[in-house]
Amino acid sequence: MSKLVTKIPLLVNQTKPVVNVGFNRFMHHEKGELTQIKIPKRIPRDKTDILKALSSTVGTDPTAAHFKFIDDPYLIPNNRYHKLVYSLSKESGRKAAKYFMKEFPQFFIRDEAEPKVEAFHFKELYDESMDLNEEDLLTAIKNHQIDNAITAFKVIKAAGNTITDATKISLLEIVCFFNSLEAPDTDLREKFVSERPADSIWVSDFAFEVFDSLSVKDGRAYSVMIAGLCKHSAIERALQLHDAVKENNLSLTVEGYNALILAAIRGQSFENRWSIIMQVISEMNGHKIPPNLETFANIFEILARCKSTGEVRDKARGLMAEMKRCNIEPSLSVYNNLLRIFANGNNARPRIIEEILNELGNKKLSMRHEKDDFFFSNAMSICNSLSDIQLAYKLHSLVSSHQNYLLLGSTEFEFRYYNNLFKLIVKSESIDKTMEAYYKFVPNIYVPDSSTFIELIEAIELYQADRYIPQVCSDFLLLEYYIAPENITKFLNILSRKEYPKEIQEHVNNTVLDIMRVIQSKTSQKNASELANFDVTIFDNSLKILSNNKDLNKIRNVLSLLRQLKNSINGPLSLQTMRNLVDMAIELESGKDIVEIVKTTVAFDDVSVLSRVVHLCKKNNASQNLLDRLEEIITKNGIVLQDYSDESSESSESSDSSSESSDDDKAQSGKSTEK
Amino acid sequence: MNLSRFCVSNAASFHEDEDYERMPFLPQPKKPARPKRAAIYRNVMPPRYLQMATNQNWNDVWPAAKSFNPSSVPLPVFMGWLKGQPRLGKFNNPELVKIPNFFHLTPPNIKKQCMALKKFCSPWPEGLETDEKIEKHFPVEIVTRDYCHASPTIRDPRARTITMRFKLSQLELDDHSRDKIIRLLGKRYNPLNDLVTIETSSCPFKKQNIDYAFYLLTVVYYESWKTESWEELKEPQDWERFFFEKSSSRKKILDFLKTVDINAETKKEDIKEYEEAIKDIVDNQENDETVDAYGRSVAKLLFSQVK
Amino acid sequence: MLLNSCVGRFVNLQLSVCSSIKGSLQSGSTISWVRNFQTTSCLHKVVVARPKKTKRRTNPVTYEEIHPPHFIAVRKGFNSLNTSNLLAGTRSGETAIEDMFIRKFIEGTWHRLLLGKLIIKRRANLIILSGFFHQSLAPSKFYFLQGYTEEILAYVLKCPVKMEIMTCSDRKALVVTHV
Repeated sequence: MSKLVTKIPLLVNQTKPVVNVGFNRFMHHEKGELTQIKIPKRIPRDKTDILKALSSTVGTDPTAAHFKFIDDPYLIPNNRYHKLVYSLSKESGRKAAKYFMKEFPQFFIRDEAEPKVEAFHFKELYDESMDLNEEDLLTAIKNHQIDNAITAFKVIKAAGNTITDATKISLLEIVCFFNSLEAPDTDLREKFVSERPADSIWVSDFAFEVFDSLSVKDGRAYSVMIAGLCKHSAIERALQLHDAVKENNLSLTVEGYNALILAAIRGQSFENRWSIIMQVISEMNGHKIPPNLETFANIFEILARCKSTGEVRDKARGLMAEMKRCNIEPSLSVYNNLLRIFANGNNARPRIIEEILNELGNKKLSMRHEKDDFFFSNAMSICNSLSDIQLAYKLHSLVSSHQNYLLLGSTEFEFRYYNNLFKLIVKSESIDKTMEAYYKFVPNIYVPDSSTFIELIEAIELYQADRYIPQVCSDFLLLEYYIAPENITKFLNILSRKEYPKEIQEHVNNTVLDIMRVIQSKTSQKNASELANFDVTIFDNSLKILSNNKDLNKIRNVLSLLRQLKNSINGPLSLQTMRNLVDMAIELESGKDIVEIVKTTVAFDDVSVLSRVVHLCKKNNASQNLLDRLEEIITKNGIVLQDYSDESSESSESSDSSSESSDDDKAQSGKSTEK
Repeated sequence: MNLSRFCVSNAASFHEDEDYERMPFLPQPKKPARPKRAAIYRNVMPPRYLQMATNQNWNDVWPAAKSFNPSSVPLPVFMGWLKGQPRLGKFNNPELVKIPNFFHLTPPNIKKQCMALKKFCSPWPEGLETDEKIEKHFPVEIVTRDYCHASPTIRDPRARTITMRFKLSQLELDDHSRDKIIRLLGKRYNPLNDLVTIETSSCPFKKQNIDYAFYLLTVVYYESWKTESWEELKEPQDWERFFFEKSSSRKKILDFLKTVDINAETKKEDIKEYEEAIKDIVDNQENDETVDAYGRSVAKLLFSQVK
Repeated sequence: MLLNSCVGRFVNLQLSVCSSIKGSLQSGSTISWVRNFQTTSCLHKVVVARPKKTKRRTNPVTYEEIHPPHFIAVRKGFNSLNTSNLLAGTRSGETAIEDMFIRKFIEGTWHRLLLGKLIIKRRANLIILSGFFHQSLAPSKFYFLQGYTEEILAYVLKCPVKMEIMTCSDRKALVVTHV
């Protein structure tokens, strides 16, 4: 319960008497003292102003994912794919619920809410048989219910009642904007789906029906029709209407002219398009319609889509000057098109981005044109191509100030922006700064794609910054780069090149084992046959890494996995690695492992290692047990041993000869094997 | 009954030729276990409180009321008691989730939010610094109540009641009207603090009730200034306080003084004292002191010699 | 056992029927019900909400189940928090029924996933459901179910509904002891 106490004043201070009942004791006594008590006016506020004020106190939590995701370690998305899938699954759940609501409204009638919440109610669909009037039509228009509006119009028409022109025009607006189809359920879809929607096509002529029924076809009605037709790719009909307008010497609104300008794309060459645009502009001037931001933005759009020649650039420059003269501040889409004209590809004036950024500074930006969100990702990719880190930082400070990050656009653009930024940082900055940026962005704001990640690891290798290896290893698994086997190949390639200090090597070994485990779990699933093939270097490198640690258990696991996956592995085994392993096994006197190694090589149709092992064993008086087992393998697989008596010639690869002799030396100095 | 039924064994039965169902006495050979689903290798991140900086802005992490979440609260909290067992930590502990927490209302959070809301507050009007000043300029007080429940409805029938309060001294009244208005107001007037309280709830809407309260005030005020014909029928029993001038006491004393040939003028102070004493008894309490005072004043009046 | 240890006083000594036998009257007899009272307390054994005890202590129980109801507000919290049962609170019956409906709905929709009981909090119009779920589903399925549940419960109850999901990898995560 909240108690509100209001004080009512005396008559003296009010123009309208509030209390005029004898409350006047003080009036004659202390007139002088009774100063006018001015109650300050209530500060006007919107319905959501308080919420906005409170939300302005909240910054971003660096460790948290986006607030739409569930805050649980299992359910936080690790990579771009997951982010997309999770939000789309949630949307899909909502759609499923809406389906039930639509199909079975009889189960949702219990309503004890007071006041009624419209959002949770069954959306009424108007029917031809219902008795509808203009009010219903207006309600439908207000709630953006196109189907209802169309039905209402038809019903009213059929009943022979009149509808005011104003209503007709607002109906026309909504029908043209949405192309006579039900307004799509936007929600999250726009932010997350990367494909650009295909150009919409004019669907039904209901709009023409409404248009014809207008008693007075003024410029506004024509503008609405033309704008709608242009938006939905029915340009010829728009031009027909435009001819009608010219005949009647009517003046379109600025929206109509903007649509006609955008329709100039139909001209195939720059000259055609420019002449069309000039015609429209002269008409605008003739009817004294001032241009607005959209006008300029559309012209820039057309220019950007033309092939960039000197003439195009001249016109663009002229337009910028015009814009300044008209006192219209360019929006981000204008800047984006400038970039496309001057900086993309031809690099006629690459530093234009610097000028644009200087112009923008750290201003508070807002979405003023539908293509504003293209700017940031485009700009960052240009910074990347110019390899200018300072420019990138400037751009990033613009994005980070106020709430400009909202203009980064859909996830695709956001990803491109951060990817370019991060690539640039990896290229230009020291490893410490790079990792600082890495910790800041990954994984909640941005997850690098595979190539960038490999670049990062290469940079770490270059700078010999071993302290970051554990983080990178754990992120490789956490961010699920192992999904693509090429990534595993490249990753292990880099890791196997060097032997790290002890604690770090431990992390690396664990990572290798986890990767093996992942491969195993992937192949043990039902659709193992559909999996991509693995490159044999994955296993080679894993064995190489693990052999540094001399942990034979783990090596045995890898070898057994190798045998298991024989069919999905591309490429020949690296015999060098195998030989090294054999030597290690001999050194550690582990006959079991020798057998394992041999089995693996035999599975891969290699005879040389087996032959060598047999030779060495015989030479060093290995235990009978071991020899027996080797015999087993030989007989089981029907192998013909290579002859090792002639050491220099029998090896299949010439490069092995030098190593072979050294191996031999080792074998001779080695002890006899037991087990 | 064929008792051989109960002598069945899994081994070769000597009743093989008979056609009956075997009863499952002895344990059946174990069926092969259902193949276990291969464990899917899933990455689970470590809880994020491990990555939180110690000097982070807590307002960013917990801006609004939320149920407890063990992976984002960096505190080592425990909840629950079991005999002979170590205390239960914050993970997988529903007890911590059930209780309402106030992480969103740490003092720095509150301060920040207040600072942000300050711009919607208009300043206190000048000239209204003290309570007396407020009372002087704004004599009438209206108290309204709103009710909020954890339910889909916002309606509560108690919300239409309003209370109007003001001090009777603020109204311009003479003796008669003051007396009359107090009689009219009845229980709504509190003589101890001179406060009139009018509570209305007869109309369905709050605003209507406020208007009704003001209407009642107006009517009662103007009525109190009117004098009806039947008010003359007011008898000494109805007097709100003792009016010595109208009383029979005074008449009696003056008559008495006349009969004993004493000039009333000389006895003015005594009469005054008598008036006070009798007023005290009738208006206030009749106790030893007042009665004694009365006695003394009577004695003075009757028996003191006038020179 | 019960028959022997019950002592009752009979008003009408003609009948020798023990007070704990109800019904089972022989056909045809016209026994009038006699009012009587008990003087021993042995039958007043509170058995409400206590988990079934097994011989070898194999019944796993959660913290909530092991504590009987008299420990509510002492060692246990309330599973559903709202103002309906406070003094001058409104709508207590409807709220209780809605809670029951929500619990059944969640148990069915999140089949075999919910560990322990659902926690329902009401903050003005908003209904907040918190629960511990097992990680046997892929995370995208969790999101699907969350979106679906929030939306459809909002349509049914006409109030905004929010779900707060916490997951455990172990089905026995909430089990504290065996009984």
